[in-house]
Amino acid sequence: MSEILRIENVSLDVEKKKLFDFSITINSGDFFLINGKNGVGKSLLLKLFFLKILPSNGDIYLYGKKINENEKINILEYRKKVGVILQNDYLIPFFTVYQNIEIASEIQSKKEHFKKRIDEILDWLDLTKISGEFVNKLSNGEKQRVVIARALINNPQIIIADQPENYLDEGTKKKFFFLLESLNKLGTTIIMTSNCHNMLSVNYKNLNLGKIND
Amino acid sequence: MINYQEVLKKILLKDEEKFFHGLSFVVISLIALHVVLYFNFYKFSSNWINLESQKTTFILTNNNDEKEIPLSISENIKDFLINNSLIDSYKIIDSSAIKSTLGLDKEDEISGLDLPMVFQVISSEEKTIDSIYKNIIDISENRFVEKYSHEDELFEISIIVNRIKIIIFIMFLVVFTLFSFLVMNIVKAALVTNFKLLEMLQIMGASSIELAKNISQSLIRKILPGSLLSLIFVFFISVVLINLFGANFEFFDSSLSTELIISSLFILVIFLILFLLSLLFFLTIYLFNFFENRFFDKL
Repeated sequence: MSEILRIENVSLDVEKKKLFDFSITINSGDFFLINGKNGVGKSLLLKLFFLKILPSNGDIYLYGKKINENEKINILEYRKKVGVILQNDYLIPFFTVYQNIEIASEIQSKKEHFKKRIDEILDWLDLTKISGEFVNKLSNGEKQRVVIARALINNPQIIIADQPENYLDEGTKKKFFFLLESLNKLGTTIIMTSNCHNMLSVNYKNLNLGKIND
Repeated sequence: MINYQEVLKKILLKDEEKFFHGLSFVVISLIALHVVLYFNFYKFSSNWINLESQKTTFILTNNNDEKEIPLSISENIKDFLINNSLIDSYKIIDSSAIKSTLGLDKEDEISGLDLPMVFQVISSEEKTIDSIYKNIIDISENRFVEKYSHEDELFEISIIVNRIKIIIFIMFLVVFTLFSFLVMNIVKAALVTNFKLLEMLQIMGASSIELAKNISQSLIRKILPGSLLSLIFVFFISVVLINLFGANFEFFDSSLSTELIISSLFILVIFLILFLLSLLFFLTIYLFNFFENRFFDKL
């Protein structure tokens, strides 16, 4: 298992308060579940994992190389390998379901086998029938499925998800967690926060933020 | 495949498109008008100053016992001016014109006013003027001859002309700067409003330069129709202005009018290209900076 991200003695200074102060190594094929009460900083930690924020203290190593704010090219390359599912995720309202997923491929320049992949994902997430619909006309559950499809379209090496089960019905939740486990078995790294950890059958690593902050 | 630029075009300034067309038409017309005025004024004033500076006025004063320069002498001077190949052109201001200018055309018989012979010579060579001066003294049989070069008197006028040019240029800069600020602030407002969408593109791996380039190109496309319309509008205004103002200048003829109209069109096209390119350049830098500052979230 190769190292993707190594975090050493990292902490964040948020509003004069020191958060986290921990070290962790994320390897390919890892499955992390982040636990903690509301407001403990789970979403903030996920931002650190997809490098939208940099730590106030400590070091981050990306594929073994220490990074700082001047390594934007490497960070961009890393971001292209990550599929992100966020709470209140923004889709482009003027675009159809298909176009919203397509844009991720366009940005990440992964156009090969795009047609086959998008057909599979749309089918798998029951989005085929509504692929031509504009996103602003969809229900929250449908939007959440589009967000998931967009995150998965480029076969990401890492999936970072912040409570991805939100708005999903029970059947879709089961399918989605099964998919995450299958991808993880194939070597995809998963880092997520979720209230549905009982649905997971895979051996995941627990990252308890309550303990880290203590 | 979806066009990346289309996304930004639809996200940004979708509702402000008509406003942008109108705004770009009005403001670019104003800026282009300054450019046309500046260059035409430059051309007009340069032509006028150039022609005037080549003029020298000679004043031949009659003797005390003469009311006017004797006809034989004035005829000799005329012949000399006609036959001198070094002179580009000349103009004799006859006594009736002088009287008319002074408002004395009906009173000359009783006024007893002694009128000198006045004539203007156009030549850029100082040596020619000196030789004319010596010859005129000889021809006039040593009467008193005064010589005034217009170039010396044009010094102050050229200062005023330069000041006018600077004022036009400063006004151009002011309008250009205000327009740039306005565009950048509208763009910033649109970016801030839609930043969550753009942030998602950043999280997916879109680079700041890619976003900046695409957004600025998209904005220039929105400005382009209004700009082209303003180019046509200002061109017609400049044609009217050239003909209107040109009629008052003695050096102005139809060939110069055509030359000025063609050069105005050329200047306008060059200006518009440079204007849009510089706006594209500054917008790209501004947007690049905007996205780079937001590449990481601040804690």
